Amino acid sequence: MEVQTRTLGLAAAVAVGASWGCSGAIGPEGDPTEMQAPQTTTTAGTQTATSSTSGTTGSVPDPDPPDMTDDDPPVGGEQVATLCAQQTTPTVGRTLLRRMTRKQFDNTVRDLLGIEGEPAANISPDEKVGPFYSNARTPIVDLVVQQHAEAAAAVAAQARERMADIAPCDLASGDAACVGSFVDELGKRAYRRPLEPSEREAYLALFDAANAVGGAEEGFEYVVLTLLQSPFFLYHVDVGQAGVPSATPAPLTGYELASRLSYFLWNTMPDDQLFELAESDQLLDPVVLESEVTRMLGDARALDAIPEFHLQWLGIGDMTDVVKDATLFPSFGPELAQAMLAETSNFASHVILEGDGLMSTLFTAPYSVIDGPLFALYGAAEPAGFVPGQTVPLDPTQRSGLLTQAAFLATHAHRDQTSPVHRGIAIRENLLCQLLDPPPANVNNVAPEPTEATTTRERFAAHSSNAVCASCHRLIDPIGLGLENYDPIGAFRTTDGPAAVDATGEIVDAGADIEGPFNGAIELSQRLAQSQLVADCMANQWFRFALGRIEADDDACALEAIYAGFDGSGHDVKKLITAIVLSDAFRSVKLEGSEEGL
Amino acid sequence: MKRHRHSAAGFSRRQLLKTLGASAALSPFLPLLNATGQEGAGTFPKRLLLFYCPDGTASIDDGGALVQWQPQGSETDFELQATHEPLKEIQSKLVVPYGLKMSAGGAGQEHAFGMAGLWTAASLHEPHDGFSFDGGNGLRTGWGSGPSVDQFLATQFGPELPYQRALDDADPETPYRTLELGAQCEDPHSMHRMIYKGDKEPIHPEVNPKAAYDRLFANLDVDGSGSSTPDPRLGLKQSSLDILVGDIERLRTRVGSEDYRKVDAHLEGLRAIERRLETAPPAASAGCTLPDVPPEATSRWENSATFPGEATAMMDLAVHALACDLTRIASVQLSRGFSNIVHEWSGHNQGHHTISHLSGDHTGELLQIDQWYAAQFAYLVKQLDSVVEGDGTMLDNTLVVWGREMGQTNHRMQPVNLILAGGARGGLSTGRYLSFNNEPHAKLLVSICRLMGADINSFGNRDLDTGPLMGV
Repeated sequence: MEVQTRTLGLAAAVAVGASWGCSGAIGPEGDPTEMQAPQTTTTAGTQTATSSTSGTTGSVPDPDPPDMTDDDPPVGGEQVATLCAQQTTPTVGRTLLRRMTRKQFDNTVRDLLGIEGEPAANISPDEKVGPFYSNARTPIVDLVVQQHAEAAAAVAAQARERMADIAPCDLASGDAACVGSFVDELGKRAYRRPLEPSEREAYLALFDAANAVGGAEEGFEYVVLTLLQSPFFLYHVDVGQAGVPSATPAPLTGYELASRLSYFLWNTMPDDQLFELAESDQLLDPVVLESEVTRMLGDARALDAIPEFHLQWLGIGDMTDVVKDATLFPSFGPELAQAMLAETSNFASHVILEGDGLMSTLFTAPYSVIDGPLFALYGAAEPAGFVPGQTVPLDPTQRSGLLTQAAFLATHAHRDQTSPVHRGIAIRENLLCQLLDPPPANVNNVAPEPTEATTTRERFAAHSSNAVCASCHRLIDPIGLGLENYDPIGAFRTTDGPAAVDATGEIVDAGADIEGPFNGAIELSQRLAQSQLVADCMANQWFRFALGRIEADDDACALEAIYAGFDGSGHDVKKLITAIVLSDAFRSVKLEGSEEGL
Repeated sequence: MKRHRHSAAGFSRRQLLKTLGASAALSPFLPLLNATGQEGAGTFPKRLLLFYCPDGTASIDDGGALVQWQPQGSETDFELQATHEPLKEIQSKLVVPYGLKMSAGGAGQEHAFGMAGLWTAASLHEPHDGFSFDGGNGLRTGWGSGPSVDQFLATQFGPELPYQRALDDADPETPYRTLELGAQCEDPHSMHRMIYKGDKEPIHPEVNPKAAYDRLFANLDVDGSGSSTPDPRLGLKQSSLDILVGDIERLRTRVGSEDYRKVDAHLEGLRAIERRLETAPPAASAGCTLPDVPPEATSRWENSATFPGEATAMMDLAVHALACDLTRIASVQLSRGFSNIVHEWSGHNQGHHTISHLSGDHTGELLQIDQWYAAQFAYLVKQLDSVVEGDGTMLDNTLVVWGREMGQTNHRMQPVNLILAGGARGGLSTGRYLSFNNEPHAKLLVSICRLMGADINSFGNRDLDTGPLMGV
């Protein structure tokens, strides 16, 4: 029997008509009627590794769940919840072996050895799964193995200088017991589990051999060098309590759970307390697990991971590479870009870790955490006694949360003009989790050059006036055009070329709770803030961030529990995070089997 | 401690070296490379060097070519046009095919599927496995679907191929099987990658010249004594590797079957490191010298100020690596598809891609860009030609190929921009212009493979069983 996630059910069956030749310059030959109807599909339908998209293709627009009959596959949340309650054993999607990201490598080296810096800087860039960094798919290549060897050598050489600080006892004394406890402790922390007897034996032998060549420092250096290259260090290895790969979900060991937890919330290795709770298996107790989430969210290390989710989710992590026309926007440069990134990072972590944690606040707060050149950009005065890091009230008619922050607005814009298409797509895909079909092959997609004589709306008019363009662009442009009060670097504006800004827009095919016309970013933000679709999408995105994979059909029941936890809390992101950690998907692992549904 | 190996023959390579009587610590490279040629002419290995620059030649967005680059004249007596002005002095070393069309296609726009198909003649996938790149204004893509010629040739062995020795585990004679270098190639993206190990397996180039220099040349035997003192730490490094290999083998029992290929690939990487440990680095000689210490590139993103320097550095590293027999198959990628580097050194203030789609006539600027890249290719060819090998030069023993992901800036995929240089060790007759009428470029890739010694009739999955390109 097929079970689909709630998100699949809601937005699954939105079809659009054929489209052809959507911009000013029409592409060459081609009969529009030959095109088959492209469709939107939800993210789970198309991005899951092998799952089918059954039920999401070939359908007629009908965002509301059909009436339930015995013959229909259940699509509504209620039906899914019922089926899941009837489950006797949990189902979860398959986990693939993931290599740690460069940031994770840097952070782990910092916490393992106390060495700061960016030792992973020269390693080839990370892959992404959806919007999030996760080296889950492509096998490593020779060059990257070599790069890791070089990084490990550099770190080990630095660590050697600090042997007295890092080792738990005086290695130079020659005491064999000291060598034993050094290997045990550093080995356990590096492998994120106790060394097995054969591993321990190998490292002891390596230490002795190196010690014979160059003394205790040599022994120390070679042990560190090897630990940092071990696949048990570099990969997130989750097997389960049985210790062998299983085609059915297996509960994680305490150590595996500690590691998943620390890399999720802190982007680094577990700390001493997590290791202790892992060793005693206390971490397997959901009560203990939940209290650890609370503890970890209150720790400074959460300030790294929580903002990272938002930057990657909104597609603004690479903002420092954005370039703007220097004549039109002389104030834009690395300093301003950095300030924009810092704003969204600090705002997100403030709301979630210090504030009420609510999704609605993320979208409607009339304040932000700004500094430096952003005051001028936002036309805000620095408050008396301002200390960087404090929240700053902003004009509530101009700024309310993430979608009105410069990082989002500037990243999703061209060098010299705004982009209702990029902004609309970013919202449709990242916030509503509705993937759009691509434009037809022969479309000229270059944006018309901006001039003082035309407004953005006029330049993109073909998207709405041409019926074949509109069939698809009706999903995109009317959202993006609602952000026209913000120029290509996110500054507020009331005129666009020759006319006053027209920021009217419309949301279609997105659920009754947010569909309809709106005027401007503030109203748009308010709509999204109270949308069930946005909440479900956010839950899915956090799921991907936490697990480094796209949700599969088999995760449906785990996701139901996660949605329930998020909804029940009024969409408190901290509760969402807790619900994810407590879910079957997070606490167990399945290494074999297909991605099919129940 | 037990030593585990994944050798098909079931024995350890280290044991093999001991059995042969070679020093357990050092086994010099087989003397295939001798700069003075005293071992006899024709004993130099064949090399392959791929060179990339972005985009296509100047054209009008909804029209045709602004600049005609078709050579004028006959096959052996022809005149290169303005686009290739900097190549005129090396014309006798070139083969210039004109009139090919790109065997490329699939998802995304031309910058994307052109990059995916340039050296592979294979399609670009639609999004898959969580990979979804914007392959041109909203058109989504995954990764490419086939190996590039360099990666394919790196797995072939035989007397006519770059790698001749065929041990049971098919290791190349050189420390590095292949070398992928690049300048400002940005992030993993279907428009930014051209080298593929296989289906959905892009290889990211090394973009930091200093890191590449340290990796390749740090332990070069500079005074050419040929007999380095044995490394007292060799045994330690081998023991360290033994631990890593043991860990990999145990990891393989703890992953799902879908992940075996990841573990096996990691083991391959470790074995490549082990091989480099067990063989002495090549000795410096008249042909093999240290390149200048290059700059550090701390970013992989576009930066006009540093781009020319990084480009030169990578070309120098490639030439020296080939000359020192550190590898026989290399690629140098300058920038990427959709390159928007501002050619400030030519007085520009807008990026390459921006200019390519401006309305109005920007022939002058586009020609300057194309000529600048032609000058880089000319530099590369001349550097290869400056390394003496036997009675000739390394260029005679190398096949160099210059390619771009599109035919023209208006996204027309023809005429394909692929130019050959070098002798391929006697296989390629140069100083010729060949005119074709819409032949698929897969044929040229077949010819490249045949020139490099692989007897094949088909390459890629766009145009199958094409056979070679006539006259190459």
